Amino acid sequence: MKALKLSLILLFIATTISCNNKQSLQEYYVDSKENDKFIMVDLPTSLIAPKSENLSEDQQRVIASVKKVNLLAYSMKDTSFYNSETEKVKGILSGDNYDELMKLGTTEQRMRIFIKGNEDAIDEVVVFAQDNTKGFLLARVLGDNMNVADMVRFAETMDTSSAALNTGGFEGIMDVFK
Amino acid sequence: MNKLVITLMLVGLSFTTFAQKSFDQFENMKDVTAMVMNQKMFKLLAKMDLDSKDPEMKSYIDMVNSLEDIKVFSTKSAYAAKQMRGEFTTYKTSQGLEQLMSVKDDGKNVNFYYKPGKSDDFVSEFLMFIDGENNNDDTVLIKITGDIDLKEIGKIASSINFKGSEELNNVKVN
Repeated sequence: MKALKLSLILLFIATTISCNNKQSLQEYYVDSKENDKFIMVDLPTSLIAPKSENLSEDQQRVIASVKKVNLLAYSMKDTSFYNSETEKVKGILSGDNYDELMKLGTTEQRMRIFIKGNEDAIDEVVVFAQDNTKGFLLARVLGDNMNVADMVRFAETMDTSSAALNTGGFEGIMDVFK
Repeated sequence: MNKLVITLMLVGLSFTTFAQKSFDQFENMKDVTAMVMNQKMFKLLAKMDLDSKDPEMKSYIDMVNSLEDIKVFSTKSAYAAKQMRGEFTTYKTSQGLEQLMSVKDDGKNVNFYYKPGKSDDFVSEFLMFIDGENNNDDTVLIKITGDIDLKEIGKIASSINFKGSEELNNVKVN
């Protein structure tokens, strides 16, 4: 167990160091924080789902796997700035170990979803939506070994209506582009 | 063991990038609506409902799990439609795809092509092309790769919910 922990820490250090060569999405967020052209929202999970004794251990584990949600939005004012920033984000997402799940839309209006990590144990989910007339939105869910099946199950126990999240939410996304 | 996995992944990766090249241009073409779903997405979708007892759901999950990628391109622009038609013709010839059937539906010509898979009912690649040029309709190209059960392909249509995908329901297996 100790050896496993140690190797995980080493792996973590190794990935952090290797990421330093070029800009990571995290650095992009930090750099953009200073820029008032962006709208930024940081939500720690403690705000979204407060700790409660009513939850089972399993449910608490699921909540604990999500660390925070980051939102970065740019509302269209300057086309050249929009173009350079979206190019930057695209560049980061095409490298840096992101796996593209899907993309949808036209050259003018597009949404892309990425994950980082194994499909059972996701560390990061990134949604990048852009509209050439309105601006772009970069949403990031950061966590630690997040499991989609667990989350869906969790959502089902919380509220039966959110069972629709399973596939219903997915179809909702599709409807936007009909 | 790890090395083997990494090597396999690299081989798989290079293979997919090679296979994807033929239609990639449409992803960034003006006036083309594109939808691309990758294998990771299907693995995730399949995992969402693992303990389903419903046999119908089970077969759906099996099918989703065996998919590699789905690409859908649709356009109303005459220029893009022409490019798509050209690319479709070149691709089906160069890859040696076989015609499954062609349907005339509502004035549209719908063509289905496939690459044989492990058995008669399974194909490794499926290509659908709707030519919408003559009646100002959308020209749609759908490309599915994976281990595809032709009997289940209508289900893909209902889950991707994209204009033109309903034509997949017309696929019949003899």
